[in-house]
Amino acid sequence: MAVLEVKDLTKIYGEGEAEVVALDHVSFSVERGEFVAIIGASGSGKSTLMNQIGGIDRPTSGSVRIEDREITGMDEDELSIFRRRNIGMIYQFYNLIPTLTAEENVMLPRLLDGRAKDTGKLSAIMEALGLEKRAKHYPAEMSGGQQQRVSIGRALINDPAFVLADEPTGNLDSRTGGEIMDLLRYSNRKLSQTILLITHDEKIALQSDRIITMSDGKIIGDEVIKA
Amino acid sequence: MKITSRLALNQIRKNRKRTVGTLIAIALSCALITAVFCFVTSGIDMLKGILGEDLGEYAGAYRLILIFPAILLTFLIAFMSATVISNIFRASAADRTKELGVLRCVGGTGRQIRKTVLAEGFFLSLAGIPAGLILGTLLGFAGVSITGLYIDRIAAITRTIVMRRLELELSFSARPWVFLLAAAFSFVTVLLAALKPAKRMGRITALESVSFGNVRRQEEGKIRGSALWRALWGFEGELGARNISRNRKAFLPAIRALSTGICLLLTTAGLASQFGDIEALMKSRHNLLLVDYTSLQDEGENPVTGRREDVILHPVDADTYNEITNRLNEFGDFEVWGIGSNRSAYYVKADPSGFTPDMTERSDVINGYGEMSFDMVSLSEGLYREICEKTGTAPGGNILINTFVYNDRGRRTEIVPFREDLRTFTLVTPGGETKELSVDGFLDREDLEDWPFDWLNRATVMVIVPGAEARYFDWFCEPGDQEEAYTAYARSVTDSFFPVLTDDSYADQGYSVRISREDTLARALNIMLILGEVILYGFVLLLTLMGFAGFISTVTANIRARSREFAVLKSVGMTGYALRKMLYSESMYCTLKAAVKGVIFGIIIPYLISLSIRNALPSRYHFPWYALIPGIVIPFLAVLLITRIEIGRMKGQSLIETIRMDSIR
Repeated sequence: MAVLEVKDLTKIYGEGEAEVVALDHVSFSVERGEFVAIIGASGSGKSTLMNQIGGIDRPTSGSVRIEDREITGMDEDELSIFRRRNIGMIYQFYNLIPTLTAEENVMLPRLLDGRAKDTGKLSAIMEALGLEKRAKHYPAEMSGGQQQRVSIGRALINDPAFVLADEPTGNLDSRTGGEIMDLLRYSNRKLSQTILLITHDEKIALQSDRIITMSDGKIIGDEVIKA
Repeated sequence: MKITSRLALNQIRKNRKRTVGTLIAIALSCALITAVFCFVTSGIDMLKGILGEDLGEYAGAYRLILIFPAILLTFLIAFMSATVISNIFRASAADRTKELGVLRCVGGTGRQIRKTVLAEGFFLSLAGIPAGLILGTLLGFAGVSITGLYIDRIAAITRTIVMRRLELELSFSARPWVFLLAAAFSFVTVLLAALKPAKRMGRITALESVSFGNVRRQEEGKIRGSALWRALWGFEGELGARNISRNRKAFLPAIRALSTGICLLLTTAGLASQFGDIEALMKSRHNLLLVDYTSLQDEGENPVTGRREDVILHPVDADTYNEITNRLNEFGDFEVWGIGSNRSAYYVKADPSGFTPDMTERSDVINGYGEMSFDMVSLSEGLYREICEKTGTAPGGNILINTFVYNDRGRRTEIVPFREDLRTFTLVTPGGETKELSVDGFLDREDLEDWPFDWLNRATVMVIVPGAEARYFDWFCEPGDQEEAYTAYARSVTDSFFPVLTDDSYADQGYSVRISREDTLARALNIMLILGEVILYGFVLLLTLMGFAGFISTVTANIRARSREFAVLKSVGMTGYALRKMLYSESMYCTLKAAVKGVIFGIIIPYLISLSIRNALPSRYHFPWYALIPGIVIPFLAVLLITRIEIGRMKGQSLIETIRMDSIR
């Protein structure tokens, strides 16, 4: 069953001579449990695509269906609620809330949802991410790798339909970046978590199961590399 | 021109809104300080007019009375303006992280960046301070001129009631030191206000500017939430409280400034309520026209007992005051009656067996010699006869005014002091001679209402003694529309008995005669109090507004500096409603913190002042509920409004660009 279905997605910025087609009739789908990497050079449209899939930006035309729900027609608040329940976001610059501890940052989507703390699940995630000893630390007290692990925890806490990771290793050294990729693979294999990884780095992309290549706002390649 | 100065000038030109805001803050601060100093120089000149060029024996004390509040006000103004200016620079620091980081990348040192910011303060002062000096001179001139009008009125009124002639005249004057000091003080304030943001900007690293804020900062202290705010606002409230805690260094001066403003407002209102009590106390219920004779009294010492013995230089005897009463009564169809007093001649031996239980508790009325103060009251013949009839006293008898009104820790309290079976008092002179004074009748409080006896007790024991000599004698009447003619007539009558030959007859001739309405003193006091309140409220309001401006700028800067944080919160699923809730809870949290501190100190300070006032006068602290509206409700509403405006501004921001490009600070 397709977790994500993108159909004829187009995004145009500006008007007239200043018009830029960032996404040009993009269509693809992602099945549950897949680990998909979207690669492309700078300006290829991969981040624009991520913003459409994540419900952060609205397309000019086309549709995005997540677990059979069309998100392009949702209003801002519906999108916010949908995001916190169904999409896990991981950013290059971690984007943790500085006033929350590691544990609270991980719990953030649940806290926003007004749901009680699931201690068992939180402990499991913190343990899996190697953050047990950092649970009460604030972002400013952690290294970049630790902060990125917290953001992975935040993405996973609500068992989302898929995790969107935008250059998650871009701000880290190669060893720490490798550790982060290990964690993403682990969550994909062990927890059957669907992952969409956006990167410009082919080496990183090769660690996924499927690579979608973008150029000039179009998909120019869609290749399954691991069955 | 050095590169730091050029960069500073570029910032001033580029960031026009901030430049204008800072210039206004500097000019206003300098203007207020100049105005305060102008008041001081004008006040000193007025005192010189009264006391002579050297201000007489107590020159130091007089100068201190004027200069101390001025220094206090100056520091308050400086504190408030420093908060506003510092906030503007701090907000600017947040906006310029990238630019300053680039400067670092190309080799700028922290010291150079600090210099750039301080140079901005210097250049802005060059424009702001002269403007402030001009504005302050105008403000001082207007303030002193308006105050001068009140002083003229006070002088006109007091001429009829004060015994010594006073030349009260307040006119604007400013010395060169006023401008030099105001300029220097304002300049130092600006530099100090810019120093902290300058240091902060100087610490920005090149890495910080290119890594979009993901550099570890260890300087933040412990972040605390608020259980109360969590209970009231939920998770969003907790987030808000933590943000305030995280940014406490920025919020603390702003909260202090607002709480100082609220505190000043409530203190002023609290003091005004006490002034109101004093004013009410001075008011006469009858407000009759009063012809007052007062003799000078020589303070001396009895050579035998060593006790204080005052000698009345020109006492008025019964024949004289009765004759004057008769002459005054010849003027028209209204009645003139007189009451006199002599508190210098005798004390009364205290005999607790004659005390009522209420009086027994008043041990403080008995002096170290076992005596009580005594007022020998004299009355004009007609009034005496009337009171004899009212009290059933045989003519020629002494009548005890059997009431004791005193100030009980700020409360006007009245008791019946002596038992009805009391028949004699033993009078004692300072020389130790004694004599018996019979008590033949009792005049109670309810019997006093018809005559102007509604004062606080001038002495513990007051006895009407027919034919007694008096130091003071007052003739009362209500001449209605004949007041002007009666005043001239009364002056001619008293002149024939007590000619006033010099401007300062009290000092030169040993007596004075004044003709005025009973409430003249109350009116003069009323004008003084209104004047005091107008000046005090004016300054306090300006200071509060400055504190409030600082507070608002902090709240605004804080919201603007966190656009990335808000974007992240939205991206992980925070709804617009929840975000608004968080921001409103933050605004409410700071305002509440400021209000709680401001209200507590705004109550405690005037209350403590009232403790000393109420020892002297029946005036108590009243909670100024009416000041709570401008003091608390308005800041709350304004902060909510500002937050709403800032939330509205955020709507136009792109979530994507914010997340990708900005940085969390």
